[in-house]
Amino acid sequence: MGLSKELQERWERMLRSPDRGEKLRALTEIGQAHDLVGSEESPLEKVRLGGAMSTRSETETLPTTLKDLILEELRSSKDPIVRAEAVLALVHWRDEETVNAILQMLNDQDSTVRLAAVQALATMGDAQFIPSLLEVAESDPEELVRAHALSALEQIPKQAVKGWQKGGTSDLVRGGAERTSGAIRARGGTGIPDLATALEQIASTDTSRYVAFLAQKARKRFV
Amino acid sequence: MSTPSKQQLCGLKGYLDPSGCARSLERIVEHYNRVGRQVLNNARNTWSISWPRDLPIDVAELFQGWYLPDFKSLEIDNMPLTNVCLTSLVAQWHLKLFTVLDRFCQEETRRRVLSGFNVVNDLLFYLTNDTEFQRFWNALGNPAPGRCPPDRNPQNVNDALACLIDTINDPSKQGKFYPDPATLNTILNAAQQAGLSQDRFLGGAAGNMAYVLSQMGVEVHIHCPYHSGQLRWNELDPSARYLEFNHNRYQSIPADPGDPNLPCKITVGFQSAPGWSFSQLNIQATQPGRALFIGRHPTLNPQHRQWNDVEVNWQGQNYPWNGPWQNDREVWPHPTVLGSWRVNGQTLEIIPADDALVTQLAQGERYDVALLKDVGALLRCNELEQARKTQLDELRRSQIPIHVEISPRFNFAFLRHLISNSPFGNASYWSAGLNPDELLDITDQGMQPSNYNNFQVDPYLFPKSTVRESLLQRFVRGLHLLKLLKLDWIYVHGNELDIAIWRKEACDQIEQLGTNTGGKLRDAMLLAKAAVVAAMIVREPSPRLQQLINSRLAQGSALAVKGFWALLSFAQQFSEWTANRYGSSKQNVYQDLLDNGFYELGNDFGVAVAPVFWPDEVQFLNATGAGDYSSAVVAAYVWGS
Repeated sequence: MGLSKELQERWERMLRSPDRGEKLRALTEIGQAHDLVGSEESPLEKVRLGGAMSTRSETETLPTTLKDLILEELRSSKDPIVRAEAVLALVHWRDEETVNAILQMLNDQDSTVRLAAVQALATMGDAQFIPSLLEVAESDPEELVRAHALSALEQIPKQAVKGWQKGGTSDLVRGGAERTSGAIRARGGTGIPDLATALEQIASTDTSRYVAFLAQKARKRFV
Repeated sequence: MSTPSKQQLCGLKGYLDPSGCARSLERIVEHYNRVGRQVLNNARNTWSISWPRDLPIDVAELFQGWYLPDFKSLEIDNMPLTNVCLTSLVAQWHLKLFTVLDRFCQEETRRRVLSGFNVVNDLLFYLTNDTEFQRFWNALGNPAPGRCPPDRNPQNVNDALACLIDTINDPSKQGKFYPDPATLNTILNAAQQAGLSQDRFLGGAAGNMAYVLSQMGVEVHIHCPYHSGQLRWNELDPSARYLEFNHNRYQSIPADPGDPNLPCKITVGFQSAPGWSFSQLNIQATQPGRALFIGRHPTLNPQHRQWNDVEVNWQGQNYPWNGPWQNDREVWPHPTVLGSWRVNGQTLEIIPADDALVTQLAQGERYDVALLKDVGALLRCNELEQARKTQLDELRRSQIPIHVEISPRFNFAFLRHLISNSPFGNASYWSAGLNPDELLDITDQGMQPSNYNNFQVDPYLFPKSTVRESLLQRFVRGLHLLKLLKLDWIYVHGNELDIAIWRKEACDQIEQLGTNTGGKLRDAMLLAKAAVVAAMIVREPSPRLQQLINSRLAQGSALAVKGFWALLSFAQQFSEWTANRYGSSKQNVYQDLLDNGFYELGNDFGVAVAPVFWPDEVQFLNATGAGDYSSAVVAAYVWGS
């Protein structure tokens, strides 16, 4: 199923509206629009922006203007709920700009936004986000955000993790946020053994029993 | 000490997956909002378009109004249900569930409960193909199916066979039947003669409650009229004791093994597997189904019965107690009171424990709660009913609360009479649990008003809806029953959302409940749902199925999505209801319910909720007793310190 011009215009109109409720509704709907971008293994590849990368007709791709409007909200809104919802709406795009924008939100001052950013990375489910998620799990001040990062880590498909281990950094995050060079590479490592060690460390040092438990559980997956 | 159930329960922590669950919930909400509205609009259009032109259009509108519900968004004003709300909701509740499970797995608090009175020898036979059914039918003597009676009391094999066939063909029908002892015996013998594979459990409400609690590390004292060796006592943890009375004293003895020549109640169940047919009797087993033939009375081979009459010895006098045992030597009475029995010549004497002995028991054992399933049922003997009232009053006087799992077969005026005259004013020291179907039956207008000691109870609330009732309607029925019976709190255990309601004026006075009744109820309900899943897995006789369920659970907790859905739905409905009825802030109520899982309305009542941790896969397990498990856990962990 593709994105109709009508729907696209409706969302754009709502995002331009000064009304907070309208904006939130548009962002929520966009975030939930999984059916519109197909159900293939990597649906987000299909909606990559820039025309040349897409194999679909114009009406079947999410337009750059929509993405730009969301990014604009993400960068300028003072309302944490709007920023959080914008992060979640961006999951359909996997170009460098949006992925970097999402990764930056892992440092947002509001924990709801950081939680949303973790959830966005979980939804994308790409092994390249492992270092970023790990760093959140290690250092975010909020228990729920750390826990969610560990849950997201655990949800990354095993095959993707193997591929990541072999292939190193992908186009998605290359040259992007500094965050991606986080925890693992800071230790001088790049692979699963380092990830397991980092998780073990979290499991033994985090003051939250919940986080420690989830770290141990995630570790088992990678050992 | 760790039992298999406790290990399984603590292991459930490992199946929590907040991020996957949030993603599933997000998709479900989207689908509901988009497709739900569309489907309902389509149905309305179809109705209008297909309506014959020559019939009055106002009738079509009338029908439409009655049978097609309006689309109801999950949101409330000014609070859009955004994706981050869902993510946050799921994350918070996973933390709550983890905390509850973790606390349970760490804690050393000793709880002690009394569980009575209904303990049953639960036999389950499996019908997995037409050959097995043929063998069973042959063993019955190839009777023609009769007609399953609407009152569910088949009095001959033909009618019982019809009930079984009905349930196999349509498992959605309630498959509980109450045959007479002879019919039950014939069914049991045929199932055994046919060589159907079978399992056996310690069943009945008291048996199930004792099972789940003893496996969770609670010290259970179980009391039923006869410590029969036919019952599977060895399913209980060895810490469980059988409570025995003997004139002026009581003692707790090991529950295992019981006396071989004592009667017990029997339930004969048939579990049918899908994928077979039996054309001679028009059977098509397309889905898994279960029919239970429940014996109402304890039975024993007549050769072991030495007595003819039954008398109740109460306050030094003997009173006759008449019942089916007068005409059927297989049948024994089932006195659901604390007490003992003895055979004196040709008479079976039932001796209820007197007030002094019950006080001695209460003060000696300091039970956290007495789980007494059957107390709402009449005994058809005034002296036994008086004894019951006296015993329950004595327990309450010692601040031992009574928890009862309510059945539609109760006499509610009698139950109200038992709860009345609390020694603690507004606090009754009494709680109850029941499932939504039972709640619906009890509060439906079809229930007969009844009289007891001039106390008139009219259970009418509103009629059953033609469509599935909303969670708010369930809550309103629960609140009505809570106040009608003057319970301290009531627990409605559902398949998607658990709801507990408490009377504030009562609970605020009860020391055991502390100052956080809502949080306590919420946590106990979360623990209960996990305990139910764990108990069902552990009690599953097939290791393969156990393994399968665990591996499915390990794939993630998308399993909890329907619970979150129900939570959102209830929060939306309840916040609108309280805003209209009590002028509360809709937003505050909504947010409180979602964030905390409870809300208190002034000095009137409070409501606590918990999304159900109940994976779809569990439907393949034996769900008999799940309601008893839930109720027992909530009672033990709310009343227990």
